[in-house]
Amino acid sequence: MLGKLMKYEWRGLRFPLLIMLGILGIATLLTCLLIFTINPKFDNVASGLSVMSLILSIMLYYFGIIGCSVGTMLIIAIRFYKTTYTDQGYLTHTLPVETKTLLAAKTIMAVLCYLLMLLGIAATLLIIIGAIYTHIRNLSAYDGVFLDWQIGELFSELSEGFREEYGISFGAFVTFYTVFMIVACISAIMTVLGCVSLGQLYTKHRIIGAIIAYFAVMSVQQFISYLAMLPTYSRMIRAEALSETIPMFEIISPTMIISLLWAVAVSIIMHIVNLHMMTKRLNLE
Amino acid sequence: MAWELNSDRPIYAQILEKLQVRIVCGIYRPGEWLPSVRDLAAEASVNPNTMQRAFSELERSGLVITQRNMGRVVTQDTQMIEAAKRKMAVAQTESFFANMRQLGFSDSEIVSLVNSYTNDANNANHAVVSK
Amino acid sequence: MNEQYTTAAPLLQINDLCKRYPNMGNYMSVFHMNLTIPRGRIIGLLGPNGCGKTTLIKMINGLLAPTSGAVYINGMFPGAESKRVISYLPERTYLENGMKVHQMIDYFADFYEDFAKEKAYSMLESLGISPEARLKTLSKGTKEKVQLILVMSRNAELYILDEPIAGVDPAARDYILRTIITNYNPNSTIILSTHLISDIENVLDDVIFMKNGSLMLYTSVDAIRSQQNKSVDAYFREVYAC
Repeated sequence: MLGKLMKYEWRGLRFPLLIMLGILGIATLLTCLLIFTINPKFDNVASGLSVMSLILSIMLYYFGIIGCSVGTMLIIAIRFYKTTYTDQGYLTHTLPVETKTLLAAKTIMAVLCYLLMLLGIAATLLIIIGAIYTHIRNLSAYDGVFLDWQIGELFSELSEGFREEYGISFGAFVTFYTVFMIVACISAIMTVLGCVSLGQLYTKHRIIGAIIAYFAVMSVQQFISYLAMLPTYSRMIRAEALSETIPMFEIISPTMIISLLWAVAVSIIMHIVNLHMMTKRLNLE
Repeated sequence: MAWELNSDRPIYAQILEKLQVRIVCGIYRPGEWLPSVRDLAAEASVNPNTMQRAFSELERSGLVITQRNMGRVVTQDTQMIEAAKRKMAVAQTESFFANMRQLGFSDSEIVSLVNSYTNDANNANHAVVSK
Repeated sequence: MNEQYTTAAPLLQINDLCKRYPNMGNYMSVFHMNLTIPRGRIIGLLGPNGCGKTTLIKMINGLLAPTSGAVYINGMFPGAESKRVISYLPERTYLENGMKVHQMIDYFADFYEDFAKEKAYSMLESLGISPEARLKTLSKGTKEKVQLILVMSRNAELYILDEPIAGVDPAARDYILRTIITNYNPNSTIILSTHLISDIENVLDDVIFMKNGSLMLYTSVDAIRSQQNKSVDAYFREVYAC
């Protein structure tokens, strides 16, 4: 049943997501094309024109990224609200499945869709970086192979120096940071879903209730991240006072770990909130 | 088309009467299969259990015989059908007389009214006018 | 063992059920309700607006948690198992507007094992609804018909139809009643909630009268007619006279 639920969840979400990705793709393509029009040999007017249009296109791309990530959140929230707490809920909640399965399907698909969207955004960013690099490589006075070698050197120096400065290997840092980002994404989605559920408590205006709940949770989140920064500050101050060098990662790791634990805690709390609202407190109009 | 049913008497009794009429006047002929409970219930727009109850009554009276697992047939005993017809005629007459007496007619007046009614060549028109 | 237990338990049993809405000044929508419903009946759930019919129905379907008391379907609390055997028509339109009619049929067939696709398609045909139609292009009345087709195409043990004939034209109403009659089987029970009694009176075995959230009367249509010498509709008007 979980599989079936997830299938229909995907069918309900995919269309707007793919449209948004398509628009972002067009913005990416446009930006890449305009990158290739930049040519120092052009006269002032022509190069000014191409730089101007490139700047506009990058702005379009930037707003595309913002739109895609915020839009995905919104679409997930709206679908969750509509299928769970409006008239459609009459069908959703009379399907022959346990509520926890229902919630699991919705949560898993929401998280997957959001991660998918972030992957898509990352892919377009890589494409643009690739385009810039290819273009510089074509324009450069050097041999292209020489440029590649230079870049390779730069990266190996970076990863060697990284260990000394940060107190952790480059690979380990990337892994840690990836895990951190994924957990943060899950908690962000869970917060949105949980706030939609919390909005149900305010029976007269359920949507306004959800928005208020979201801002309330966000304020608490802000406060917690302040608290999480405290160990970092104190370590920085201590390092300065003793004028000793503490590796960077050692300074920020408590903050990151507190944030990570907080994200996990928020996800669990929001899951419990959802489950409670969908069983004990369910009250469809 | 839903059957015309009165609102103040049990539905199964009214259904029963209608089925009896159908048998007596030959819509369902002796030895013929009856429609299924479900089909007749749908035709009459009544509850299948009610139709079932009317059928059971018919079976009890012997007008209808159940063939195991196959359905129901009208009895081939034409005398029994004739007797049922008589009984219904008597009931109709009784209620007619009861109504007329309520209007203040004596039995002999009623009989003469019936005679003049049947003798009148234009009884159809007459009936409408006298109403 | 389990099998025997479920067949022995009544189809639907309601024990001392109460529902209080804290948001509505602690209003008791359902108040100490007791009810046992067997199989093989067509039952009218009758009562004026606001008497708790819909609240009761929601609790039977697991859409609302009782304040106290309990609902048992085949001896079990509402849950995945009870939803498997109950086919429920709410008064709301729950169809997803972006979907086509045939996609909705696939959806039902995917989730409900007892769903008969052929039945759904033949009913669509007799009501002249195209399976290719997108739901947002259909009128409210047609959507209600689609919903009823979906609900009646299941071979469920308990059908709960909340106001199925309120908004439809007389021809469709006759079709709905005929569907209910032809769909009848001795193992399943149909509960119809309505305030239009005269239209459905002949179809019912039993009636449940509710008043102020409590059970007032649960008896057969024939019993009312033979004891009161009046139709259920007339009796209803007398009982609830203002």
